[in-house]
This record gives sequence, structure tokens and C-alpha cells, in this order.
Amino acid sequence: MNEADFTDFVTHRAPALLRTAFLLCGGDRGAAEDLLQEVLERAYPRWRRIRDRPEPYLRAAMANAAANRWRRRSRRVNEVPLESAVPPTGPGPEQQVVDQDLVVRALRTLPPRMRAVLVLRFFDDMSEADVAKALHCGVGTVKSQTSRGLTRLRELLDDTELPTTMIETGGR
Amino acid sequence: MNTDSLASLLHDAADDLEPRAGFTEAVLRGGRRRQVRRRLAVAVSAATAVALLGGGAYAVVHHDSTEQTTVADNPLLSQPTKGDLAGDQAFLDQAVGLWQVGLTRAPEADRHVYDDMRGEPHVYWAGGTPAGRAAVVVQQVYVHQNNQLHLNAGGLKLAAGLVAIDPADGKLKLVTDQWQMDGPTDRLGNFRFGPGDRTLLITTTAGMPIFYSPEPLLRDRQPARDWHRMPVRDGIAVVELPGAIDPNGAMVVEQATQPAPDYLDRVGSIGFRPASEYVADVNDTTPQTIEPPAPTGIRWVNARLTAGSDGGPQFDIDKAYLTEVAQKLAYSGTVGMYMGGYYIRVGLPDGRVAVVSDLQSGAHPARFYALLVTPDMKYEVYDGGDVNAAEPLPVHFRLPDKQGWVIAQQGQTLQYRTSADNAWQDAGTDAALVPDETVQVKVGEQVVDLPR
Repeated sequence: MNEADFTDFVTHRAPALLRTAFLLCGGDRGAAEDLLQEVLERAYPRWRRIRDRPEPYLRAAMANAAANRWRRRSRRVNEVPLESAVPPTGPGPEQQVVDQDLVVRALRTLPPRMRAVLVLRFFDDMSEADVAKALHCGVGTVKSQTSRGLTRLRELLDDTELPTTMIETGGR
Repeated sequence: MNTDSLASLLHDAADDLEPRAGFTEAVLRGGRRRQVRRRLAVAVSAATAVALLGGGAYAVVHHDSTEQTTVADNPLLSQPTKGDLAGDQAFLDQAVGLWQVGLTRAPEADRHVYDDMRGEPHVYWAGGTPAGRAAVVVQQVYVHQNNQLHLNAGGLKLAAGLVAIDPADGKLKLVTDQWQMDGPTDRLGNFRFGPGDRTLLITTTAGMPIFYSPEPLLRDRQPARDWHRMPVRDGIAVVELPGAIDPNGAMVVEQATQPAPDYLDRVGSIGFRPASEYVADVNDTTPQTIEPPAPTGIRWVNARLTAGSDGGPQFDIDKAYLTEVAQKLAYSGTVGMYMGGYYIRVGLPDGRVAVVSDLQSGAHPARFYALLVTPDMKYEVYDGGDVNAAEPLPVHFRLPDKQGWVIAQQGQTLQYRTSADNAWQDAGTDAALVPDETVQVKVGEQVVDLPR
């Protein structure tokens, strides 16, 4: 175990991993920190084995653990960051904040596995094959979960501009 | 919104996040603890092997060419069923059957947690609850490590579940399952179920007192909780939360002594998964219980408004401090907390600093609050009532001790007067501290009477 190496990794990569965790937890920052901390703590004794490519392993572990988030969810109050907590009423540059808030809230309503697929695909920019590997499922499942997830997001956001072609690419 | 803009929105929503101070150190401490536990587990395994050679009360089970050990005399699995329905064999049989059926559809089954159940299911407890008949069923399971699980999650575990009536359809079913992730525990499960997910059921075998607090309160200007000891009978503590409160705000702890009223931190408390959410997960439907309520607070984004005296002691109140206080105020749990995207910092004539903002937690609408902070960072909390963001003067918070009114409307000029006959006094724009005697405020050209 090279603790200095592990410490360096956590120091430099925890912010990026926290952002994935935040979305996996549907915008619950407290749960996201708990999730990331737990996954990193569990990685510590195994660092020697995963240090060559830790990030895919940790993102997969977070995505799968997020499906089990109830074990952590009561530990901290859910928090929306002070800066972007409440959307403004009118149009203008603040509209982006509205969309951010809505998309996080919409994500929260999706089943955890479906949310994980969307986050890994569109936030972490992972390929369908990599998402399938991370979530231990088939590419067809990733496609169908993506399709259904986007459809639900479109319904929740009442967004008619979400391209139908994208929605229809799913299927096992 | 296309998928590119979805990616962009996700990044915009998350890219500013940073871990809390001390996060790396906390990870290292936790990692070291886990490594010690892991080494201890290896040592225990070696001791178990010695016991096997000596003919101890252990059995070796072979599965998939993997040698595994199972404890044959685990009392949790073999002791007589407890509870007032323990003698109802038909109900016990029904509970076992529903457990077995339920496991096949459990969310954890997707992660292959329940692929290798060991021994027979056992009804640990069966009895009446405020939400009807219920049973706690336990069984050993050998969890085979796979990449859907936490690291080190595999091994011989104890799984437990609650069979209870689902209020959605009135049928008995498995409404929550749990399995040990980190080795032995003296609790078989913690369940929140029944109408409104308001019935709490906690199993305990350690004899440690269990305390619950229905909801967070504000008492003597401080966030607080009332704590009640839960009666334990047959190893089970059950309580039904009042219908008038948000059950997500309840908190349960297991400890030797009565928690103090300022015990608010949920870290270390007993967690629950609402049964309705579990059932929704099983049915692959949207879990309504975690749908956050719509924000009702004032929609000013990133507004840092100042008002009041520039004299007197000046001290910084940073976001981390406000976040900590707001969390104490809002420790209500699982359906979201919206902190106001703004705050108004007000220097007061008496040297304190007031911070006014709003906060929405649980299922409640947003409410104003003011912190009155002394230079040594001690604070008192004052409740300002429900927010009506559509009012022409949405913020009009009367501070205690005749310190005046905090008024605010972003982007508007403000004037005030202390009687309807007096001339208007300029109060600047956005936010102001005006005298306690103020009766009217002019927001732009609109006159607003302050409530008295």
C-alpha cells in the first residue's frame, strides 16, 4: 500500500468523482459525499490492485452503490448548493440555472439504475460498452435504459425538443 | 434539449462542487480503519479453520468450488419466533413464502446478492403493529463478490426483510430487504412502512436503549429535538409517527443515554428506507416518496445583499458557516432542502450581524429565518414565517430587540417612512435595514404597508 500515492489520487480526483456522485445521488450533496467517502475508503485496502486504472473502477463502484443509497441517505440532510438552490422566475441568463435545477430534480425521480446509465453516458461521457461493463449488464440494457431515461426526462421537463431519433435508438 | 445540452446542463449543475474541507483526511482515517478490520477478519477466518478441525459448531458448505463457512448455531436463525403472532403458524408460513417470492424481485437480486441463499428462512419476529400484521424474516446468504457491489462486500451475510401490508394495495408482501454489508451487527433491520411510511420498526438484540425524535424543532432560538425512548418488546421497537408531521424528519438513535435536545447530527443515526420507495423500486415505478417538493422560496440567485450599519464589530460569516447552521435548522431528511440562493447580511446597531434568508426542508414550504450572530459566532435563530415570493416586498423581516426591519426586493429602489404623514426616506436599492417604527415602504413606486 502506497498511502502517498492514494492520498495524491484522492486529493486531485475527489472533486471530479464527487460531481459524478452528486448526480448519481440525484442532487443530494450530503449523500454524494457519503457515497464517495465510502467507496474511497473501501478502495484504500485494495489500492495496490486498482491503482493502475482506479477511476473506471471507482465510478462503477459508485454507480452500483448509488442504487443502494438508502443506506446512507439519512446520514446528512439533502442540500442544494447555496448558489443554485432556487431558480429565478423570469427568462434571461438565469434560465440556465432553472434548467440545471430542473434536470437534477428530474434525475432524482428516475430509478437509480436508469439514473446511473444517464450519468455515466452523458456526464462521464462513457461509451455504451463501458457503461455496460461498469453496471455489469448488457449493451442492450444500457441502450434501453438510456432510451427510457431520456423519455422520462423529456416528460418530466416537458421538453419537446429532445430528439426523437435519440430516444428511439434504444432497444435490447 | 438535446443530449449535448443535457451533458452541458449536468456539468453546469455539478462542476462547481468541491469536497468539504478535510475530506481526504477523513477518507484516509476510514480507509485505515477498514484495513485493520479486514486484517482482523482474516485472523478470525484462521481461527474458524482451527475450530472446524476441532469439531466446533461450524459447518463447511461447498458452492461453486468455493469453500465457505456458515455458522450453524446462529441464535438469530434458530431461536423461537418472538412476537404476539409467533403462534400463528399460518401467518409464519405465509411470511416465509412472501420472503422467498419477494427476494426474486428485490432490487438487490439484480446485483446477484441473493443468488446463493443458505439454510432455511426463519421468522425472527411476528406481531401486530400500528400498520397491521408484520413479520421480520431472516436467512443467511453467501454473497459472491461481483463488480456491482462494494469492494469487499462478498462473504457469508445475514439477510433480513419485513413482510407487511403494502397500503397501496392492502396486500402482504416483502416491503424491505436488507443485508449486512460490513459483517456482524446486532440489528437485523430497520424498517419504515405502513400508511405514509410512518411506522418505524427497529430490531435490536444488544439491549441498548433506542430513542426517537419525531421532527426537528426551534426552541429557545436554537435548533432542537425532543427525544423519546422507544419501548422494546421481544427485541422489537415499534412506534407510529403522528400524521401531522413529515416522517422524513424523524430520527432514531441507539445509545446508552438519552440524547440531549441539541443532538441533531444524523451521522450515526439509524437509517431507514421508506417501504413505499422500496416497493416502487421493485415495480420499477417512480418512487413518489422522494419527489422533492417544488421550491417556494425567493428566486434570487447568488444574491449577496448587505444593509445596515457599517460601524461596530465587523466579522465574516462565510457560506460554510451558514450552511452548517441551515443544516441544523433543516435536518429533516430525505425529500430535499432548498437553501435560499441569496442572503442579506445586516450590520445591526448593537454590534451583532443578522443574516436573513429562507429555507425549505422536507415537505414544508419555504420559511424566512434570521440568524443573529455575535462576534464570537454564537447565534440565535428567529423564524420569519412563510415566504410569499410574489409579494412586491417579499422580504420584510422584523428583527427582535427593536433592531429594525430588514426589507428587500432585488433590483428595486427602496424608501420608508415611520408614519403616513412623514416624508419618504431613501433606503437605497435591493435591501435595507430600516427603523423598527417603520410603517410603510415604497418599492419602486408601489407603497407597501408593513404588518404590525
